[in-house]
Amino acid sequence: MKALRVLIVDDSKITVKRLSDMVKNAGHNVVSTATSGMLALTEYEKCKPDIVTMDITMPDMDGLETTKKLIEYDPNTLVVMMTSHSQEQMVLDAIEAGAKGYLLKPFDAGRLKVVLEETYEKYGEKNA
Amino acid sequence: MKNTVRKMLENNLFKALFDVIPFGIYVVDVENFDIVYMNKLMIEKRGDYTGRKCYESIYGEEKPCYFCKTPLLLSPDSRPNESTIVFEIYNAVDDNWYQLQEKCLTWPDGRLVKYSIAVGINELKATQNRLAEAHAILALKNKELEKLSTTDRLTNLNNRLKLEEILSQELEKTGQNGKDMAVLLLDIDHFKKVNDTYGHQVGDSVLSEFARLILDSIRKVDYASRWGGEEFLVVCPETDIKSSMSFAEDLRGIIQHHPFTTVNQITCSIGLTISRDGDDENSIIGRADKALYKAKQNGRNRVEIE
Repeated sequence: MKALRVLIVDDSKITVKRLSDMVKNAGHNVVSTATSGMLALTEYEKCKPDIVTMDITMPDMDGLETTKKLIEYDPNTLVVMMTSHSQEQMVLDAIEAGAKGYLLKPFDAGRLKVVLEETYEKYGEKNA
Repeated sequence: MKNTVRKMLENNLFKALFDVIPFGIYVVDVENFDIVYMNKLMIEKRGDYTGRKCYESIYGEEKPCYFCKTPLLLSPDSRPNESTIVFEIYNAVDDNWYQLQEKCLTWPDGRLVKYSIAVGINELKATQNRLAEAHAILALKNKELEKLSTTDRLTNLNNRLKLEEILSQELEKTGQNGKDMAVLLLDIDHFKKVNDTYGHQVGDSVLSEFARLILDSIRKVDYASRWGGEEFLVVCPETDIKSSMSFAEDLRGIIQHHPFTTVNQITCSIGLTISRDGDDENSIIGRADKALYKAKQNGRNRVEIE
C-alpha cells in the first residue's frame, strides 16, 4: 500500500488534529486540512489528494454539499464521510452525494486506517 | 428527575445532591455561558472549569455550540420554562458520546442557569455505528449494482435499457417545455470488416475508442449509449435542428479524422431526427433509424435527417 495523500475537512480543530495524528500514525500523509466546505474546495484544487475525509456537519456548506461540489469538479474524488449521525437516511444521503466510505465518531484509529485503505483500493486506483 | 430538581430547589442543596448523582453534571450561567458549578465526578473527569466558558472549556469551540439547547428551555420572557430536554452529542474534546439532559432553573444566588447531566453512551453508539456502517456498505453495493445494470460493460456508456428510460423522461420534458430535442443514431461503417480482418479484440477496442470520442464531444446535458453491436444513440435535450445538424457533422468529422489504434481510419453514418408533437420512444427512434438507413444508402460517412 502506498502512502496516501489525505485532505482532512472538519470544522472542529480538535477533530482535525486528532484525525491528522491518526492518519500519520497509519503511515499516510496529511497533505492539507480545511475547516470549512469552501476551504476544502480550494485545498482540493491545490493539493489533488488521493482521498478526502469529510465532516458531514459543518456551518455554511455542509459535508454533503461539499462532496457534491468536489465530485462535480473531479468525478474521481474519493470521499470518506466522517459523521456523528448513525441514522439510515443520513447514511444514504452521504452515499447519494457520492461518498465512497462512511465512518462514525468517535473514530477508531484502526477502523480509520482500514476504511481509508479499502476505499482507495476499491475505488481509487482503477479510476485514476 | 423533575421531583428531584424541585426538591433541590426547595432545599437549596444543589451541590450536595449533584455530587451524589453518578454522572458528570455542570451548571452554566445562561447569560454569559460561564460555568457556575461542576459536580465532583465532572471535575475528576475533565478538571475544574468553574468560571470559564462552557463552549470553550468543555467542547473546544470558539463560539457557543451550534447544538446549544438553552433557547428551548426558556419562556419568551426569559424565565425557565420547566421543560427538560434530552439529546445525544459527540464531544470532540474527550472523544466521547453523551446523552445530555438539560433544564433551566434559578441558582441560589439568583442567577438564571442551565444544568446539564452528561451520561456516557459510547457503547450504545458503537452498536448504532456498526449498524450505520452496514447500511453504508449495502447502499454502496446497491449503487454498484445499479451501475452494472444500466451500463454497457465494454464502452462504459449507458446501455440500451437505461437510454430507453432516459429517452422517455426527456420526451416528457420536451412536451412540457416545448423545446426541441435531437436524437442521433450512429453506426460504424463496415464494422464487420474490422472484426473479420483484425479479430474481435481489435473490434472491441474500436468500439471503446469510438465511445470515448462521443463522450468527449457531447455536452454535460446530453446522453450517449451503446444501442446495439456497433450502433450508438445520442440524445441531446433542448437542441434545435440547426445546432444538432452542425453537432452531428462535427462528430462525423472527429471520428473520420481520429487515428484509431491498429485500424487507423474509421468512419460512421449518422441518422438525425428532431422530436415532434406526440412522439414516443419508438416513433423518434424509428425516424433516426430511417435517417441512418438513408445515410448508408447515400454512400456512408454522412449525416442524414428524417
